Amino acid sequence: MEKNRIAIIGTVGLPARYGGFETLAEHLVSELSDQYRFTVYCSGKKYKKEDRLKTFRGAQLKYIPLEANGIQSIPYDTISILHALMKNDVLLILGVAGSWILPFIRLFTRKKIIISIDGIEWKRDKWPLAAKLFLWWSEKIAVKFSHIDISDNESIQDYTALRYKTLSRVIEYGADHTLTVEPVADDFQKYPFLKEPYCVKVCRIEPENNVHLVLEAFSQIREKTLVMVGNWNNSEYGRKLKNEYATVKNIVLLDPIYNQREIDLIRGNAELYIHGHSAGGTNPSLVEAMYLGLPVLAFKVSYNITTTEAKAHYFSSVNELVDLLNSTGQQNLNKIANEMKAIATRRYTWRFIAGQYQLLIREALCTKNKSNVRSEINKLRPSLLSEFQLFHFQNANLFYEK
Amino acid sequence: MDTIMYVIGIGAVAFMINQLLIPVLSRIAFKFNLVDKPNYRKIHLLPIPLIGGISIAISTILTILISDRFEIVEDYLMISTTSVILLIMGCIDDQKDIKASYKLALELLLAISIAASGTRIESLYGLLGVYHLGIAMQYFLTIIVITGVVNAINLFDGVDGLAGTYSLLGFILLGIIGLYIQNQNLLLIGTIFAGSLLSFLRKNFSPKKIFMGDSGALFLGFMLITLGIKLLQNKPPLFKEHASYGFIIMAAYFSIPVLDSIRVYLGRIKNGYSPFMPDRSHLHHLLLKIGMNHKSITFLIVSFCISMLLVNIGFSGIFPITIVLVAMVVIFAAMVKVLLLIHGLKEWGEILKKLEQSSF
Repeated sequence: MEKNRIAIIGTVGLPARYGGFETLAEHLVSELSDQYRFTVYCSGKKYKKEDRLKTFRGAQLKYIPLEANGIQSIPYDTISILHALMKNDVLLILGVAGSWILPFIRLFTRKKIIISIDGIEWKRDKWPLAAKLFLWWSEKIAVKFSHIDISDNESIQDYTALRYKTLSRVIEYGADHTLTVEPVADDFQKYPFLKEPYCVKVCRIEPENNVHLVLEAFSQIREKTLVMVGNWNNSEYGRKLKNEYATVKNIVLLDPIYNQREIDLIRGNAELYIHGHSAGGTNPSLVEAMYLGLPVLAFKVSYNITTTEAKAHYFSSVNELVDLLNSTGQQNLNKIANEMKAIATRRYTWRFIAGQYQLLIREALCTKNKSNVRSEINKLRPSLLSEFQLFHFQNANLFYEK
Repeated sequence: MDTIMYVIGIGAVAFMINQLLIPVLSRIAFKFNLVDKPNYRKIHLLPIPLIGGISIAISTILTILISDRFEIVEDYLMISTTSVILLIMGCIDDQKDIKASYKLALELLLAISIAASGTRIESLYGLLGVYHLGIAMQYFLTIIVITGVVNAINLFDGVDGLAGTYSLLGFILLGIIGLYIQNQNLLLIGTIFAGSLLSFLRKNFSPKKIFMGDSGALFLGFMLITLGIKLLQNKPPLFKEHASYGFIIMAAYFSIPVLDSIRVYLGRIKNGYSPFMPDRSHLHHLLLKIGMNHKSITFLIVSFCISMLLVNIGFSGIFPITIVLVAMVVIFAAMVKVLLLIHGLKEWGEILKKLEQSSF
């Protein structure tokens, strides 16, 4: 049987070097290339001509000479989409920058569109007002004109149900690409903190990730060591914090590490993972920490609670974090670690995630309209319902009304 | 023709008289219950004297008397007397809250008397291809326009300084046109009102606030629209080559309150409510919800008005009048759409915050 052709649009490109979407694309291609013919669109700016591959694990790679992020993402996504229409049946779009063109695609072609809306971008304070308005409007167009939209967290599914009255699908990220690393002599030399127990946090250095909160908490507890890996020099916020906490003895600040073994060495051998993210749905860093079998202390926000199934401990202020650090005993930590590992093994493996995407692609290929949040019965006339004594169906409690 | 110095001097006199008048009237206001008491819908927290309109009127009259230029009043006799009657009714309303239908009846009556006295909208200057209007149509249109504009400006009085600055803009505009057509009386009226308004605005923005109330808003609105209509009838015609210029300028100036009111009425009807039901969906309410403060809102809306004026004047030489006015409505609609988008953005941001904090 002829294999269906799927285009993956909106990532920086393969091989994956940049972030969650790219890792997702890489694993989709690895797991599903035997069933589908993938074409992945990559940013020519990030892959120099000499390094560019033509194919990668069975997927065709096409290069567009624009940046994939920032304001260039709008033409980047748009051109990728238009090019993909020619030879692909299903467009899997990651991110809403190009969604303004979707109404035209629905109007003029019969191609299927699956779009992943990537957290709730328009709420982020880092964007100026004009960008927020564009993203807000783009999200609306994306949900209204795609065949299927994907949220990466159940809390975001609640939000789209509330706002658009349609059902989003929830597919998170996989974490089993992480490695279990036993430190060797060289590692101990490079990172002396490995010899003792320490806590770890790996994230982008942004106010939303509560970097300042965690640093403040650890500066109050001198007995515990904190190792934080992130892009400190990328922002004023980061540079200021790095200066302020450079002299504190129990805090080790490291610059970004891209080597998978090295970052998993540092993460995997910690005794505790601190997750301060307050936005963005399911964070890949959190699911990876869970898969590595680390106990987790997470910022108290609906996304983190959903990701960890409410089985971790949560903090919303410096004081609460300090309390948790002081009062959580080793037995408790072990229990949490086991829970986290169990959840991750069950939900956050790439085979499972790719399987879900495969089901979604099959559904997209035969669906016509997006499913409404309410059941079909609600579309009947109220008078008809009362005639059959079914009027109570009008008052169903919806899943997001907690 | 009076010298510039004289004109500015008269304006300064009006300013100073009003400065002295306001504190005196404020104290009297409390005795007569001419104050605005805060309630759930209003924005301020202390009772505030509603003497803005009266003080502007009194300082204007005193300035005219002092400068011995009573011919100004004679020239605009009908307009002045009807405005003053409206002012008095406004005062009574501020004190005792008259029924809306009585207010409307009086406004219609005054509008009819203005029309009967000869001040009418006589032509549409080419809008939709219509030029000179029949007498009945003149009456009808004049009455509707006066009543509509006066009420629109009344609804505009919602944040500090908005109605005041807007009226100031109007009177300055009238004064400039008066200068251009060498009509002394118009120039002086514009300057005197501008002076009084400046003084009022100073107090309106200061911590020791006063409001102009219904009396002031109706009074100023009525004066502005009737002076405008009378101006259009000027012989010789205002702008010989482009007779529609004057009409367009008037339309552009009054467009914002009028279009905003129409938008709000239509919105309420669309949602199934009565158009007069009080809610907070006017332009300045939306801007308040976004989080702008009063001064910024006034500045923004008045700048918007000025840019509408400039755009319209610019366009009117090139395009026929119908297109210019349609463009004006379209631009207004676009700006409101953007505003509503921003408003929706903020609202959903709040909803999201709540969602994020609710755990299970």
